[in-house]
Amino acid sequence: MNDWIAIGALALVGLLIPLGMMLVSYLLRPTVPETSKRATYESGEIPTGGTRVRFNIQYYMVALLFLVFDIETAFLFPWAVAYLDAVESDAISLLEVLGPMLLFVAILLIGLAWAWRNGAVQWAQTPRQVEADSDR
Amino acid sequence: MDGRIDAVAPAPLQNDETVLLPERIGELTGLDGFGVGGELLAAFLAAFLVGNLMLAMTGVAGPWAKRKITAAFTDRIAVNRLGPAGLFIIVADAVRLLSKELVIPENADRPAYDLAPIVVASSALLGFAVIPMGSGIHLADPEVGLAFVFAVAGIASIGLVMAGYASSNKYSLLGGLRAVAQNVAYEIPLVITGLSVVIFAGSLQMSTIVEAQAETLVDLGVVTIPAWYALVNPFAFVLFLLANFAEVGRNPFDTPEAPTEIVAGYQTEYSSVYFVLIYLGEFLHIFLGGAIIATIFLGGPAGPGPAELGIVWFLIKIWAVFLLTQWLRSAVPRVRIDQLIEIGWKGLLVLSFANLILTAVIVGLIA
Repeated sequence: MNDWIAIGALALVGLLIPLGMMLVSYLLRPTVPETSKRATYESGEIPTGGTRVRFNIQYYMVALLFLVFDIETAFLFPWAVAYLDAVESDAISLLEVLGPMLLFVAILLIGLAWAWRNGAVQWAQTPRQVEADSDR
Repeated sequence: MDGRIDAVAPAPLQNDETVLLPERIGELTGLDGFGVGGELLAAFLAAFLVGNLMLAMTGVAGPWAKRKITAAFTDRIAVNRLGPAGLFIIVADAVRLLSKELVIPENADRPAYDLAPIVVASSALLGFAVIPMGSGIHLADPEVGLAFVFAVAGIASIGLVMAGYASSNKYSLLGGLRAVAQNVAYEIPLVITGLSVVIFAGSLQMSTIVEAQAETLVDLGVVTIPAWYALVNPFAFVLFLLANFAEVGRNPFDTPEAPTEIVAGYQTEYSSVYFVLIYLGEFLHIFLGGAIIATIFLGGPAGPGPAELGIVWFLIKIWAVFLLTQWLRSAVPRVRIDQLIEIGWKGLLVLSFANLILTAVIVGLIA
């Protein structure tokens, strides 16, 4: 039997279980509408300002860095699968199997070192925090 | 070049000998005589069984085991009124949680708000499709097994960011962002460390990885120690465990829902059945992480005794990982978000690449 039929079946079950729970809950639960209940929770205070607040630029920086490394891992998968068979066969020397991958990883690690030096993986700090750090 | 390709041509990647659960159910019920329709029904029955097994485990873990374990660590008794050792609290809690009123915040961004809990819960469940649980409970065995598990487990991040954004709450937004930053930082070490196992096994297929670990590492006469990859490469095992805790957002890496900082992170505005589903998804993710660890590092369902006991050993292994997460929850303080990012990118990432290269070199020299 095809494996993907079974995986598709589990995906279906994985959808049906949450939906079934939502249905049961819909039948069981009370509904007492009241406007103040639906106010955004801000530790009991009256919500101030919009909720789409500004946030740290760092979240974008690490996401960009992730993109590069995630594609790299996708390329490493086939290499890792073929590796054992390749080194066990006599047709290819170890250097030929290992060398290109080492070069590939090295290039990306240089990229990481560059990002590291430029502070992309260092959590952005306010000027006051930087001052406090340099005093230490 | 032709000669080379022939020489490298590996043994068939697909391991067709394992009898999977849908086929077994098809034979048992006689459904395999009904063509495609019978096959589909058998697959659905098998998937239903696996799904409910995982649901039952979460049911035991969430309302009961988690409380009991935390209570034991903090010298309390916890639930003990309903049934033996308070076990019936599971039923009581299920009814209680499902019959709560659903309060939807006024600015919620629907339908993303409603979809997020489903995405979180079902993505975790889907990962179990390729996990060999022993005793014949193995739903599917595609040759891309390990890649599939990592891919599916990663979908949950989308659910978390949906929940964080759509709730229209400042705490939720920050929690969702933190969850993504964390998953992104630890996904790479996780996958790279997983690849160091693939180098040993030479396949991504789960059944092949489990079989490769059945070989003998050391023969001590009385006991033979199997070549579980946790013993073959303990460094990778520790790295994988750490990255896994960050990936499922457990202590010491539970910054996305840090109660002392951002209330409950992305699930702040969720109530009733939506809350249950997000919680269910989180527990399923802990168990999925445990299942991946058990499969690629701890020999899967292998253990002493007859092969029929496989599922018992497998469950013991995943519960051991679950117990470890609960232990850390009680014993280890939480890291800050800036520390979390630095540990991930400057520490684990570099170490995992070092591990991959070392493994490759050592395997290359020995082979």
